[in-house]
Parts: sequence; C-alpha cells; structure tokens
Amino acid sequence: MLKCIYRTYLPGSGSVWYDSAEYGRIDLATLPDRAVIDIRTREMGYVSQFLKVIPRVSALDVVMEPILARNGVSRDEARIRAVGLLERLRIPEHLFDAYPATFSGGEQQRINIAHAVSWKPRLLLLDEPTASLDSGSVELVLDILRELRREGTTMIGIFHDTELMASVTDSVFTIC
Amino acid sequence: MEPLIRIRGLSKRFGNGCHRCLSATGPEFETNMCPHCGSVVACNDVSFDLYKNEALGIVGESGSGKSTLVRLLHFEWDATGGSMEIHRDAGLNVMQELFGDRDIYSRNLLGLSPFQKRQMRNALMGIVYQNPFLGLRMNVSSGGNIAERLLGAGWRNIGRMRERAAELLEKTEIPLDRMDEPPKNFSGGMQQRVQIAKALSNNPLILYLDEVTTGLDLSVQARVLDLIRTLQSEYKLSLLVVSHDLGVINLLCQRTMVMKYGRVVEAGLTDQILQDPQHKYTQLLVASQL
Repeated sequence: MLKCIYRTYLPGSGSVWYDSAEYGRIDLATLPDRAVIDIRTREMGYVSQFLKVIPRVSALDVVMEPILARNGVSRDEARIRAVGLLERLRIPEHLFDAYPATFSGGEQQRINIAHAVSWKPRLLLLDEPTASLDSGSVELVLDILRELRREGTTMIGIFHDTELMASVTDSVFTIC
Repeated sequence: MEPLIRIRGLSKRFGNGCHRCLSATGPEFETNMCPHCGSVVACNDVSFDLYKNEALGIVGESGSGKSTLVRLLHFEWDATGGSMEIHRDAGLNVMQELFGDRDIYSRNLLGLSPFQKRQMRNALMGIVYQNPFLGLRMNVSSGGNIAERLLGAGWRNIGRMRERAAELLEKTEIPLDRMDEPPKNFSGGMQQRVQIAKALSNNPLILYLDEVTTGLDLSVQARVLDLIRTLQSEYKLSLLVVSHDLGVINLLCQRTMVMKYGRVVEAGLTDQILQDPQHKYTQLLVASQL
C-alpha cells in the first residue's frame, strides 16, 4: 500500500486521493510521472525499511542532500541542520564523513530516517521505520516523528509493535 | 513546468521500406527487420519529453534502437519521421528565428539545414560515446580536442581556449600536466573523462550519454558516474542516459524508457520500472539483473 501511494508500484485499480499544497486534490494512482517526481520533491517523503543510498556519499552529505535540494538554504545552514539531526540520533561525529555502507544496521537505519525527515516533508510514508533499531534509538526516532507532527507533517506508518504504534498514532488501520 | 525539448513520433528506417514494415516488426514479432522488404525499422514512433536538469534513462538490449535514437537527436543521422522541438525559454542564444511569434516551442529541429543543425548542436548539445574513438581524436592533445570543439562553437582566442580546456579538464579530474598529451596515452576511464570535458566545453543544455561506463572496470565506472552526477547538478544539465545496465540507470535517472525492437515498450518512474515492471520484457530485464 505504501509503495502504491509513493507510486513505486502502479496500482492496478483504485485511487489515491491526496490534497497537495502545489496541485490541490489529485489522484496519485494516475498522476503523470513528472508530477509524481515533483510531489516527491516538494511534499512526499518515504522511509524504507533499510537504507538504500547512493554509494560513495558520506553520511553527512546523505542527510544534507535533501535539505539543499529542497529547502533553498545555504550549504552552511544545511550542514548545521544535518549535523543537529545526526547528533540527535546519536551518530558519533567521527562517522559523519564516512560512507554509510560501512555502518552497522542500526546506524544505517538512523541515517535513513535522518535523510527522510531532514527536509520536513508534508506527507511522510514510513515502512517499519524502527524495526532494526535498539530500544534507545527507537525513543530518539519517535521523538523526532512527534516533533515533525507538531510542525504539520502528516504520516502514514507501518508498525508491528502495537504498543509503540499507539504511542505515536491518532488512528490505526488494520489489514489482514 | 514545461519540457525543455519535446520529441514526437521519432522514427528511423534503413532501407526503402514498404507498406507492411510497421505491421510486421516490433516486440510482438521479435524482429526489427521487415520480412517483406528487408528494411530495418531501427526505431519507430518514439515520443517523450525531456525537462531541464532531468536525467531520463533509456534501457534495452543491443539492437533495441537506443543508440539510433541518440544519433537522430544529435543530428548524426537523418530521421525518417518525427519531430524535435525546443522550448523558447531554454536559454538558447542563437537562432531566435526558429520560434514563431506566439509559439512556445520552436519549429521541428530535425528539418533544419545541415548548417543550422551544426549551429544548434553547438549551442545545445554534448555527447559522450561508449567508444572514446568516436568522441576524441586520439592523436591530438587533450587540450587540443577541447579547443577543436570550441573553435566549432565560434571561439577564436587561443589563450582563452586553453584556459577553458584547463578548467574543464580539472573539473573532470585530469591532471593538468597531462593536458598536452593525446588521449591515446590514457586509460579507458581517463579517456571517458576527457570526452566528458569535451562534451561540456560549449556549455550544453543537453548531454547525451551513450553507454559511457560500458567496458570500464567497476571502480572506474563508479568514478565516472560520480563525476556525471556532480556535473549534472552543477550545470543543471538535462541528461539522456542510454545504457543496458539497470544499475547505471537507477543511479542517475528518475524516469526511464524501456526499448525493444525499435519500440518503447514501457516508460515510467525508475523505481517503478525496477520494482513493478509492467511489460513482460521489462520483467525479464529486471529479473536478469546481477
């Protein structure tokens, strides 16, 4: 379902109505490719279960890239924001300039989340964002998600841990 | 936002052709050669838009028509049919006469005279070939290769051309003390980087990349791809990336077209093409990926 909303999968039938800031009410299921790219660039983010980043790009650059590409801020400002986020997620400073491909699973997932939230998307899709994290990191991530919500981001997330889910969501939709 | 260029119905046939060529070739017949007259339909009815600062991928096996498409769009071969139009606001500083008074798009660039095509190519396009022998004069110095391109674009001051060549070679990570050496002395990866420098020398809006990393070893491929990504964002280039390597397409392109026997069988977002391919040929292509 998340992949259908993000249009990584082409829905066979049905609609995905989205109230876009840029385009108004649109059906993501049938929107032309270029408009989907535009919505992904301006409004819609996606956190996959595992980090899939471009090789040979440092952790800091992975997190800075969406801010630079989208928020129209200077390199220095983007760097300050990215560093702040990485520190909050307790990524050790000596890893900032290293390639995430060499990181542990938990570190990679925190980079993944930092990459997805750094630019403050309007709609954020989360596919088991906390599955590969230890309990300490889970709390850090949930804090960031709660803060994003307060700032106006709408989120749809897949969670397996119902208790954890209850602590961050307004409504729960069960598929069986 | 409106496309930088619009391609409509682009076709290329080798041979005289007959009225049955189109109905007897294509993916469903698994051939691009007409069984009735022996003509080859190298590509047929290809339409797409290319936007500013976008990278569009074209995948398909050898003989699918990908390179033909690039040769047509680079004005190396004459198309049998179809059109290519450029947006008025593309930032072209030549040939304003191509635009009608109120038209947003130019008239068909494929119909220009050879002289106009040369002018348009110099103002608009750069190309990097798989085979560096096609893009470079192997016995002329690397700086000379770039200067030759600049001469074609109307540059005349030797000192400034040399400066520009040095600047580009530096950007593409060729040591400046080797600028006066001919590319035949260089490794494959370096030759590709000289080709890229040459392709960028006229500040093109569109860069055609025809299998640029094919045949390079993996670590060299990676460096060339890194360079392309950096240059694309720095110069806001529109890329047309032809490759049979889905990894290259995935790394560079947001949108992708899949070609087979001269036809586009599928077009979509690159992640959708890779994770939810619709056409059975694309499914096979994705499933065969290493």
